[in-house]
Amino acid sequence: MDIDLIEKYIKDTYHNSSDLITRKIKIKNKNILYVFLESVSSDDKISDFMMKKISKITNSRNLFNHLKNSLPNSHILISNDLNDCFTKLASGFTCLFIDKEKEYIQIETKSILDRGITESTSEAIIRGPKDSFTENIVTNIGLIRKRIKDHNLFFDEIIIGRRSKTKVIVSYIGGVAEKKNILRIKKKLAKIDIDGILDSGYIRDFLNPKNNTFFPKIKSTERPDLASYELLNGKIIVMMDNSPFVLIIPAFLTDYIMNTEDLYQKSGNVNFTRILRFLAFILTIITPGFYIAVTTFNQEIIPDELLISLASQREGVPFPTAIEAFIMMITFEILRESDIRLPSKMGAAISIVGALVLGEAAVAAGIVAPIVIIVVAITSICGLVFTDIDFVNAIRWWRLIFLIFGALAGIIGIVIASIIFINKLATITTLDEPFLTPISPLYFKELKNSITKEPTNKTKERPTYLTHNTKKIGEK
Amino acid sequence: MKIKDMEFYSSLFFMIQSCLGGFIIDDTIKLVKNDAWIIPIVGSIIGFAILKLYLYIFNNNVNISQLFKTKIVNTIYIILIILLMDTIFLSLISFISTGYLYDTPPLFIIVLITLTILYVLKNNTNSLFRTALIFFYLFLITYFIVTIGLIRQVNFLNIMPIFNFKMTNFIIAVFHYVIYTTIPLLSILYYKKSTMENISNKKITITYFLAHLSIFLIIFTLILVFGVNLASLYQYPGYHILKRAFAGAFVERLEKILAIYWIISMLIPIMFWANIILNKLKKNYFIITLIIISNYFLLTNITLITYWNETLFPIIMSSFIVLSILICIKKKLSN
Amino acid sequence: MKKLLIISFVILFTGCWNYRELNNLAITTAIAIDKKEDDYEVSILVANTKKNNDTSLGSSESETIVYSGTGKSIAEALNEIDLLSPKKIYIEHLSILVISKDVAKEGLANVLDYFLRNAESTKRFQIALADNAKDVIKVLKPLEAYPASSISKNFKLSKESQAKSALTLYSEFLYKYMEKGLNPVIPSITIVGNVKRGSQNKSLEQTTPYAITKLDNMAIFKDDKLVGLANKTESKAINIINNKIDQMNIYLKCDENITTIKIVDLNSNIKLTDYKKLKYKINLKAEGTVIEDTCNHNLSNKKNMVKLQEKAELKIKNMIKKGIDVAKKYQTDIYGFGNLLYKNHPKEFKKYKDWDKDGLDNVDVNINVQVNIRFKGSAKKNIKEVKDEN
Repeated sequence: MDIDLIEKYIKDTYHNSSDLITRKIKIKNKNILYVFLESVSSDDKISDFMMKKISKITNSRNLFNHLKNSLPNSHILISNDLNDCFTKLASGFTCLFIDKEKEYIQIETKSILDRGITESTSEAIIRGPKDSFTENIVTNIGLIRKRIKDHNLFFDEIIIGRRSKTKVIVSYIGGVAEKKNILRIKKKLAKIDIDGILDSGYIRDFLNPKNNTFFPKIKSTERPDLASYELLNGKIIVMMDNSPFVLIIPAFLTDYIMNTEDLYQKSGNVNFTRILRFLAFILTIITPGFYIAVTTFNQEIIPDELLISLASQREGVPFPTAIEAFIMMITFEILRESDIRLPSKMGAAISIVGALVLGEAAVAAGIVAPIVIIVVAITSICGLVFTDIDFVNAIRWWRLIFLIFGALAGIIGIVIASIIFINKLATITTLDEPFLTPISPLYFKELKNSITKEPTNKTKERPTYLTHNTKKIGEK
Repeated sequence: MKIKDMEFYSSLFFMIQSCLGGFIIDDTIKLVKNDAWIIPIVGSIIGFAILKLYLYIFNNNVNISQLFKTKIVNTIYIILIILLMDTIFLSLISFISTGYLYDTPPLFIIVLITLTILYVLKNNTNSLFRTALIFFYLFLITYFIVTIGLIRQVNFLNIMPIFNFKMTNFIIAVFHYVIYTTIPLLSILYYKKSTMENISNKKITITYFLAHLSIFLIIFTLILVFGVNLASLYQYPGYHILKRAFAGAFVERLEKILAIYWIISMLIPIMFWANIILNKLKKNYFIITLIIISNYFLLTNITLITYWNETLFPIIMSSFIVLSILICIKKKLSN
Repeated sequence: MKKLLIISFVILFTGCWNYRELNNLAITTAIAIDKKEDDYEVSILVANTKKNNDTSLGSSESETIVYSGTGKSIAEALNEIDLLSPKKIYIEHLSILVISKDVAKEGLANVLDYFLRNAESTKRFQIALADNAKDVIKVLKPLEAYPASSISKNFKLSKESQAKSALTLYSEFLYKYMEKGLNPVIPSITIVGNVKRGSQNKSLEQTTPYAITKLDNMAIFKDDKLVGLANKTESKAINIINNKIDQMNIYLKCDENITTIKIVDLNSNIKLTDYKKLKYKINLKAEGTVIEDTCNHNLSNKKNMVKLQEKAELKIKNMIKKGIDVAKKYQTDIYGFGNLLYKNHPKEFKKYKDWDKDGLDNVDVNINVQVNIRFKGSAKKNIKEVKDEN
């Protein structure tokens, strides 16, 4: 291969990009060309390791083999395909071309472009490990590897995306996770044909082609200790380069209600918290619809004194109850959205202003009754108990459905809406297991560890619906 | 994917209790007065024979359309199930209409419930069984709350005088009771054992007796709290007794919420029967909608409904038992 | 399929028949039924739910309003009231039903059918008798925010303090009316003071309001017609035998002074001892505390305590005898002797064509009272005693 031709070819392909650096070195009578992209390569590695070695070479006989065997960089690849050079250049490699050789050397000189391991921003925890995944996939693999040192922990790599060529890794513990599930996931991932994927959220849509429900069937997390816990139970993890969120497949309803912190606290206290969270789940969906049904259709449920105070609160309010609750819900959702967008310095003041003053002002102006503020406050506070944002947004839809049915037919409307809701939840299956396991196909032993918590020394088996290999003690 | 055991047992439970919201309580109290609580005990023992019949057919995975070559049996089966569904559907609509939505025209209620049933039918059979299991949990919770509320209201003198009935009335009441509670059990023969896993005969028998026990407890509590006169006066005594549930300030006005149990225990068997009809009619949603909505024209004719409930229904439905005996005999002969 | 479902749901939005906003309801808490020249006059007490924003000015609107309507039946009378009130009448939170004596004398079964059929009545509402029912609910009630709760709470409290009047629920009245060999009783209410001035707002601004409602004796019914009112001792006896009171006071005289014993834990039951000769036995067990003692007997002496107990037992026994006599006088069985006979021996009961006339006269009751005075309070002797000893 002629080095000048190669240099011209690479520069033309990159359109004389400003971060493309090329250098030609002459050793005796052979020319060496190396090319790298300054933005993703680390200058120290090139100068300290590669150039130091090359500058000491005096003999140009058998240069290729000599370099191949004695370059001090830890990771070296040999290739003869010129088009492969472009992918590797973008991944931070340096391509070393020697005059008149058929093959060339790719040397890894990647620079670290991510933020380092910090505390998680979306899933905060008080007691427990505080590190979280970053955008670098090698770091992420390292965070899991140092927790599970078993040699059965496999990481299988797939490249996805025609232009982005992102590394996607499917990881599982061989012998514990089900083989047919792994093959299914790999087949689905291999079918993806897209320009580029930017976050693991893209993969989620491909893994779930039948988009028939609002609820998320795949959980995403930022915490390595949760990922390791799910791996040990027999679930499968999908990681992606450039994304700190890792996907856990399959995910059931009880997984969204559980929190990682439960694993590290006393089981007696955790029982209370978990039952509280189930209650919050039901309350946040039913409360607006129930309020409308009770105050407009079936007033007998209200106690006596409350009835008179509610009736006097409603005097002078122009809108019917359903529209009132609807307006307040929409206002709260808009407030929530705007709260996320604002920078943190302005955020605190706006949320206090929004919640208190807006509510008070609306009541004083006569637009809503005071009780509606309390109803919406209960709903929203109960909704903030859950961490996964897809889950919270799914609950929003169902809240609306319950509100419509409650305004339509009173308590009977709530009953019908709950039949539809429960039936919908019972139909969803993730990876051929029903979404409501272990509640609906009743697995009593696993139920004890989902709704209440067993102490860790008594949990001796993995869940039967995830794996056949259920013994935790004495397995191979 | 197979149906698991607890789902099947809970659906059996609801099937046996499907008659509660409608006709059975009025009938037993009218005929036998104070001793209406004896009827479930005697009825469950007599119905045990039919349970044995059911278990025999169920365990041998009998396919009805293979045994009898003609299509007559199939059509008789479908017609019987349609009649069964209509009976319970009418009592459900009148219950909702008198208890909850008394000003709305019944057509609106019928359309609302029909849309729910259609939505549930669109999803497959497995989810129906799972829904039954979750509503079984809800049933346990409401039962618990009702027990707490009613425990202080019982007056044990109300059952007396004991054994003060005429023998003919007693036999008629037992006959009605057996027909109303075991016919739904036989109609669920459509679901075969090969689609389920882990079913044991012993647990089916336990479910059967538990269902009868809960009916017994309801009738017993009714007579203890209300007395015979008031219980025969109300049209839906099972709903009015919930008004008496009172335990401090907690369980005071909850009868509209606790009565959801009655609605569910009538609605779930209707969904199962609609599912059977849908599958037999090759997934034709239009016909099912017509069948259910046509109930509207029967609503106005009250004398016809009472005549049907008291005399025609038990006689026609006992042909179901005859059908099952025929299946049994034919299966034994072909073996 | 999905589209059809959605379209049909959207169509159903048009018009909801049972929909009623809270501020369009006239919340009725008490109903009074009177007789006005062959027609029923029904008055309802409605809470005034207007927003009380400037109460500091001493608002001149009263908290409650009374509407009246007449008609040949209860439903017709209530329909008349619809012409007067701007809001829809809502009787599901009814708390008390007051019936006048004229209506009660003609029979209550026709009046009460409306409340039985109206299946929405959730709350167990009370029933009471009065001379003029409309006046009772017109008198404004101090001390309670919820109108009509002052009367109903008064009834509820009466169980714990005295025996003259007792809470009777509507369902209890129905039960006693429909049972064989049993007849109902209901309490009565009177008004102390001037009715006309008592229904003005100014009445609530005085330290003693112009008129107050007061609980009074029990009224005795035969089937559903009023036959008479009991006097004070007889009312107490009726309530004791029907097991309606938790506590009561007994006043024992000794010369000029009175010892008061508070009886708690009163339990009474009736047993049938001989069904052919109609012999019954009433057992009464009670525990007592001495709460006021102005007689000069030394209570730390055991003999004196036993004497006091026997005095109390005798007094209660006499009370009960008077109660049974009043039942025989009016020829109604309000205690359930006949009912007990019917439940245990139905064939014997069928021998009497009219139990109230034939059977009740031959009823022979053996009363057995047991009072245990356990505590004497914080003082052992009377203060006068101690001074005399010194």
